[in-house]
Amino acid sequence: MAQAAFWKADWFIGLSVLLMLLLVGLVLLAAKRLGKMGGNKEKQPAESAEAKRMLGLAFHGQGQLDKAFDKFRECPMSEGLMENIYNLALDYERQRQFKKSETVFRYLSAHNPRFRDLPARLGAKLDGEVAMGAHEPVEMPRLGHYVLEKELGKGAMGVVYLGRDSQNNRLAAIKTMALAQAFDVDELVEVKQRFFREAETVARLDHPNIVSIYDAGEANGLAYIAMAFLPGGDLVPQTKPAGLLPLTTVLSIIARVADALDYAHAQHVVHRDIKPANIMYEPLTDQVKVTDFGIARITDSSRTKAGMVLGTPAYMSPEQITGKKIDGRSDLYSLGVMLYQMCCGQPPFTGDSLARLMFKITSEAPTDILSINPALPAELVAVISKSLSKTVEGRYQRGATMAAGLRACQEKLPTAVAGLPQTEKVTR
Amino acid sequence: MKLADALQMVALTDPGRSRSHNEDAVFADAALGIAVLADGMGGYSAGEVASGMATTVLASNFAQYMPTHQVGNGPASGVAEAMERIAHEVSVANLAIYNAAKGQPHYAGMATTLVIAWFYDNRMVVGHIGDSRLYLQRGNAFEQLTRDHSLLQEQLDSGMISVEEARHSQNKNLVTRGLGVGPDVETEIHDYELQAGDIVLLCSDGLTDMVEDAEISLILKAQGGDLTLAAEHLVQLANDNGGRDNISVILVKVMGEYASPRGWWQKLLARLK
Repeated sequence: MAQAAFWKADWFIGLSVLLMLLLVGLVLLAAKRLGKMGGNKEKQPAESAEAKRMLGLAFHGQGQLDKAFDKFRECPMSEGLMENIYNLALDYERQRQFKKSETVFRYLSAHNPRFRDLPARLGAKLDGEVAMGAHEPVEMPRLGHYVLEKELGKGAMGVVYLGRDSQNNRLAAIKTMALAQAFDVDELVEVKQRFFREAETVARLDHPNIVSIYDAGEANGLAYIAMAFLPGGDLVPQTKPAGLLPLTTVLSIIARVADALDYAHAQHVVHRDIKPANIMYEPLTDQVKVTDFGIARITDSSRTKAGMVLGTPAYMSPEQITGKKIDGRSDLYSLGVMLYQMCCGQPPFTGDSLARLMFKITSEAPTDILSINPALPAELVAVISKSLSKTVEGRYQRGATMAAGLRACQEKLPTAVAGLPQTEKVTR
Repeated sequence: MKLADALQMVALTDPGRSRSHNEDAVFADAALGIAVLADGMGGYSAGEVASGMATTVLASNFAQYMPTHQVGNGPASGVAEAMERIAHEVSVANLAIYNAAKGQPHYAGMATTLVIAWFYDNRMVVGHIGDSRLYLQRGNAFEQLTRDHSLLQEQLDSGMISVEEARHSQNKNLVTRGLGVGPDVETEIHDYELQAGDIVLLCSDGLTDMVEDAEISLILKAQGGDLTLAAEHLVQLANDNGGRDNISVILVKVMGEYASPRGWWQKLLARLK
């Protein structure tokens, strides 16, 4: 009996020792955890000001505006940061959180009350509801001797404006390029030289089917090229099945572009970016003008790699795709792609990936155009396939010969064959 | 061994000889087992914002994730988990950059390449986008583990041009994938086993355009004992050869095993350590 009791006590003591140990272990673990957290907190301030700004931008990007503002406030103020915070305030405004946006604008104003339109914003708010609509007519922005009237669109490197020459009241399309933003300081001098050299070369081109350049200059940190403003639009809609033009019109347009290219190539100017978006067409007066000569050359060397990711090489010649040196015959190939598209409403090559598309352009025959538009005359099909030859030697060597080939087709054309397969009319 | 003891990491970035801006960004933390390298694109200062955002967002999100998660209980599930986590974190960073570019007009069009390596359980998961690369030096073998997402690589793969033609191609630096280009991004992710003595190199094209692979390998073999020296030497060499772009390198050396603790008692031990 006594022995049994002793055993029982022993068991009890053993268990309690074990429990005690466990408890100590847990306490130690908790202590360790706490210690770790303390350590982490000490690490946090090491997060650099730049990292904070990046996180701020990330929060802003994720739509967490409050968290973004908190992060931005932890950073020392700089010109770049002012810009970031200003945009944050605009987003608050877009979300109609006007209290918040005002707080942010005031925060900016404390650092630099003259930043952007802060005086106007905060001034107006201070005076209460003064004069909504009784705004002073805003003075039109100017670029050099041009008064900018409106934005026409976005170009390869910047905004395109409609401007009026204050000297002779002539309208002009003004392509601006923020060179200083797109290039490094050390490259800038060279890039600017190239820009003006290129603009000068292009300005010397004088042809009825090439958009005339008025002048090029630099103002407010923007380089610009002013050129004749054309009513009408580019040829992009006319390459879609729904917008195809009558065949005879297509041939006359492409022939005139080929003429323009022949003229430019003779002056050693290669366009490099012939595509429907760069041909202006005005149906009322039947005017055709090639635009953006040599612009591709200026933007080409830009090291903004991201642009390429988005671009499509659909109009590029095989030699252009493989990165070889190109001459005018590459332009004539690109014109061939356009011709193909304007005759049937589809591009000669399609691919579900960039690699596939590039492979087809360099190594496969285009989709048989007669399978898309069986109504095309054989002479025209021959012109198209000659201009789409993979080898430079197999193509038209000059724009003039291509134009002649197209005009010969045009003469043989029976009247009123439209560019679309005429199944509807046939079945009727 | 704890990660911080099992891995040695050195990160170095240099503007190079002809650029005033450094659009590359690097992050490496042996205790987390994370190395990230990004090469920004887009004019003005936007490129450095894109790459800076990529490294900062990934570093900060992984720093939050790691302490609460233990990857690698059973190799298969660990690998899948790590790959999924990388894909997720990269897409978070992608969206942040993409939206920032939309919300801040002066950053429009910014993007960045990315290569990220996550070391855990004697393994390495590598995710990459664009033409920043990851190499592995094991003994005498020096191997490029990532395949560039670039126009040039696609042309090489499809047999459109030869290696010789590629060397003279005019579109050397055009990438076909970028972080921040669109709302979605496809990250290429692979998983590798590592051994003690392995040296992993993450680098931007500023290094590989200027220095031949064989030369890089030689330096890693000769100076692998001192990673800082090796990294400085690589950057120096790229600069000596012209330094036409920003140069960034991250070197990671595997000093010993870093298997994830298995079983509850190992985990407890690991926590108490």
